[in-house]
Amino acid sequence: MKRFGLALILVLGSFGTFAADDGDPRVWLSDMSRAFTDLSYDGIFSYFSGNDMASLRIVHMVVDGEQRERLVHLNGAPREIIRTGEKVACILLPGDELRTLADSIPSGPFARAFVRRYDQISEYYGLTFYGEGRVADRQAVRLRVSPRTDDRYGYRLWLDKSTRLLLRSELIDLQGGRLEIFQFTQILLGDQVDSAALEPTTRAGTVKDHLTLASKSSQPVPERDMLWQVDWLPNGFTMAAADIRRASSDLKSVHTMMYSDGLAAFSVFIEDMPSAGAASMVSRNGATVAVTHLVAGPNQAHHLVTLVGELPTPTAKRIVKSIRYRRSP
Amino acid sequence: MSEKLKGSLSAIIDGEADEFELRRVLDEIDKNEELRSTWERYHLIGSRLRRESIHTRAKLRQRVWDVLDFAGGDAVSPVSPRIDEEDGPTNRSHQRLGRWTSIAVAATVALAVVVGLNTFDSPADDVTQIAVLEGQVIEGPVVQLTEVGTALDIQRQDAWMIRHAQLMGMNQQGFTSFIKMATYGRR
Repeated sequence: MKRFGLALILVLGSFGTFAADDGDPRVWLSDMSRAFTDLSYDGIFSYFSGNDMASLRIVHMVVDGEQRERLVHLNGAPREIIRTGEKVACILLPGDELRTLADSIPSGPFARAFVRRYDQISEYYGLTFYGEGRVADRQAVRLRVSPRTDDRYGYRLWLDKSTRLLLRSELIDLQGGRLEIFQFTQILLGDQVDSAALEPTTRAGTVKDHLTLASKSSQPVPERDMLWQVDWLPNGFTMAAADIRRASSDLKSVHTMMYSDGLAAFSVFIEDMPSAGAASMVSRNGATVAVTHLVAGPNQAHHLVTLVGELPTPTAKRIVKSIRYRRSP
Repeated sequence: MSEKLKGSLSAIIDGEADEFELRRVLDEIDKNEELRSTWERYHLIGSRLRRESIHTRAKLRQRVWDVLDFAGGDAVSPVSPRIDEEDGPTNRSHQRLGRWTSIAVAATVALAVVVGLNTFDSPADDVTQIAVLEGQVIEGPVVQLTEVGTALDIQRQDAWMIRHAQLMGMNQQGFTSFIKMATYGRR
């Protein structure tokens, strides 16, 4: 009995704030965020988006104080994403369209942003518990995240009752339909996870592409220095990151701005008008919408602005239409 | 559907149609379901699957932009490009273009509008269409001219979608944003 009690204390202790703010959904959300980075887990999950369903494996551990993560696409073309601290490598087959597409736009270190700030989101979303459920044979607490305005999406979350890791999430549109579903079907936690599972599968002919996060010391471009401004934003969205990047080949520049309300986020990319012209168009892939539009830049030259984010189409269009060149930066 | 109509449709897609062919197709497309679906199929095949059609449409696209932005030449009618309804006309000097080119371009757009392809905004669709039927040079927002996404346009949007997923993945706690990247594919 005594030993059992000790074990229980150790278990509870390792999950931090278990008892302290049990009733506050905001605390559950920040615990969820922490669980992503602090826990060890190795699981298989399904991901449904748009009309398509995928199965993936995620392995996560902290090794010598460094985040290690491996995400493996289990269907179709072999793809793995390996994170080691601030570096992310994509392991793909040479003909993978992901590689072709990523190569078609300027790359470089990624601006550092802080997209998820769970402490503020209760201003823009209502947070309510709504019972319990079971996911991947684990007991889960269900949390509903409902937008207070109809310009963004809502979520339903299933959080592991003991570790608060996200076990299932649904992204909900304005009509209550589900745009995306993420769900673990099987998961190992804590000591059950073997660090050998972090090693990428070696496959003949695969190639690696590297992404690196900008160093912590690098200063983000201040909002006032950006040459472009967004005149209309849904309530609560603020700039999370900004970046100006030049592609070495043709000296064209791409201005990148990222905005977030603490939960939803979108990116804005502004590029010089391609010589072959471009269409104003809208695409949707599950919850992600992409809106491309023309905007007048310096000397009335056309620029192409593309917004990508998890937003309803009308919201995305309205934001894009409000983007202006700042005449005197 | 008659072979003649089919031929005209192909010619429009390739930017080779003459005015007569354009009028015929435009007259017909509203009431001819088969013609409409053929156009849609041509469009889908052309801009999403067939590599060579990228060039065709890019060529056409190139012509639009040459005309609107940079081209001079001895032309019939002026065009005032505009970016947005609210913006009003820009100060760009009036651009000139041959009537034939403008009609070819407008017809492609008008057809796309008629068959209801996924387009940005279409408050001026009717206007555009009427303009074409009247055989006039297009007046109005530039965006109305280029609503049909080519393979290149789709590819560019896809690339930005992936970049967004990368940005999100690099900047937030947890792996969930990378899922989009790992599973990315257009079917």
